[in-house]
Amino acid sequence: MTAEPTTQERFTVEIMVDPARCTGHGRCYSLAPAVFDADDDGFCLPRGVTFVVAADREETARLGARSCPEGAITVVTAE
Amino acid sequence: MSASAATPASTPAAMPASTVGGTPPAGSCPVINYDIMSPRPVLSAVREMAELREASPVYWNSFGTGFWMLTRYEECREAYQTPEIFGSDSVIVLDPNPGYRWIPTNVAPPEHSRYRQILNRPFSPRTVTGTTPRMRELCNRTIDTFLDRGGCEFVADFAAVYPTRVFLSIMGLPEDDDMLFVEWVDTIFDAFSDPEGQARTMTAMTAMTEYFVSVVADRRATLRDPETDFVSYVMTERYEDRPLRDDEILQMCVVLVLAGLDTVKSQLSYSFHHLATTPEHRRRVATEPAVVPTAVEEFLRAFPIIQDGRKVTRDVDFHGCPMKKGDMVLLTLGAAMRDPRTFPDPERVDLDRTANRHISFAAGPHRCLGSHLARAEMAVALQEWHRRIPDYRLAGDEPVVERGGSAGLVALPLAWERS
Repeated sequence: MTAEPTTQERFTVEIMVDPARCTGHGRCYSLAPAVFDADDDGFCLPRGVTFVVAADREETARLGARSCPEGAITVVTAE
Repeated sequence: MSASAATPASTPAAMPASTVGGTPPAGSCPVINYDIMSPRPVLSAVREMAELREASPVYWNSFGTGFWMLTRYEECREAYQTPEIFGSDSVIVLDPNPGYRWIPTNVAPPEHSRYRQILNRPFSPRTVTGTTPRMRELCNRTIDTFLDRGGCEFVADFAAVYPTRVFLSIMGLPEDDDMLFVEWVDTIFDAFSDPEGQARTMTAMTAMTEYFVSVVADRRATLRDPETDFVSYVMTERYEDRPLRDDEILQMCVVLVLAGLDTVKSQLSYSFHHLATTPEHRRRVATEPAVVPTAVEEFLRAFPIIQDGRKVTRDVDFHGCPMKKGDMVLLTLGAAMRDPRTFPDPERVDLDRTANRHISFAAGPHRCLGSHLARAEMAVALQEWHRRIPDYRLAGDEPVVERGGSAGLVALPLAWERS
């Protein structure tokens, strides 16, 4: 039996912030600043494009997504 | 009021064009007569609204001129995120046809977003962070006025005064005008639970509007630094390719006062009532300042101040309820922010609650402009108060009373040991 690769080796995390839904609550970048940033008006950056973060930030990304009052953030674990 | 009193209504044969003031075409929705105005013992409203929420997601409430009530999180959020149906021509359910148009509150997209592009910047998280040291100073100066007395009436002595001082500082207005604004706001919001107070409200609104008319005229004559003076800032901004008119600037100033002062006052009042009556939470906030940001979010969730209104823009069937163009809809956040379908163990105030996606600042395009400022004001107040007054209690034997309408406490006497 061969050892499974660790989660960190196998996966990256794809994140998409819906620009039509983000209204600048600021929960994502307050709680998960390692994943999300803010623009000058307080809206999430980046938004409207899929971006990738390392798998070790998945929990942080998901916390940001779960905290979004607009449900604007999608997090997909990609192989 | 008990939710069990709610009974399904039969659908009338003839439907009026708008349900307001008429017979409720309630369809499958229960019909109730639930008083949202009268003062009552503190935290009665969230308990009553929780009963309503568990019995039905939508009601027709025949109170006042009549309005629909959404009681659950997902339905409230759906309404917020569908402004083309749940419009903002009126946001006060008991006043469906207001004689004013506040900017940006009563403005629909896409005009709304053009105003917000101007207004977002001075209320952005970055701008707010820059004003936090000043906020801290104003908070401490307010505490100085009663610290040695060993007690205060929290609502009048602290919660009404400190956010007003922060507001004046951000607006670039004289700090000596603080008591003018405190009195105007008190008078205007008292009318929420006192229909007899309408005349006094008009007098206060007129006085406040005249105050801003002269500020706008003054800045037109001599522009000040847009970085530190709000009216000068908006005068230098453009709506598409034109500068803002005086009447638009005036509307913005009035809205900032009405939306930004009483709300923070009330949020602070409920939060400190909770802390005064919950020793383990009081100790944590006093000894563990790192808990403050999540505590602020939890107080916003558990004690939402605004019960928001929307006006239906066209006939629509909303979750089985036949809403008519012109009907008013109450987004009953006091019920929705304690919805167990969204928040585990919702009646528990949990200072460590994670993934707290409350919409106490609304959702959709009208998300509270001042939300970042309000959060910072709350956090500074919790930190500075508990640094200086770590332990305190409710004083006096009078029961604490909450207003109807826009939630808030009438008075909150606190006492502490003088050091």
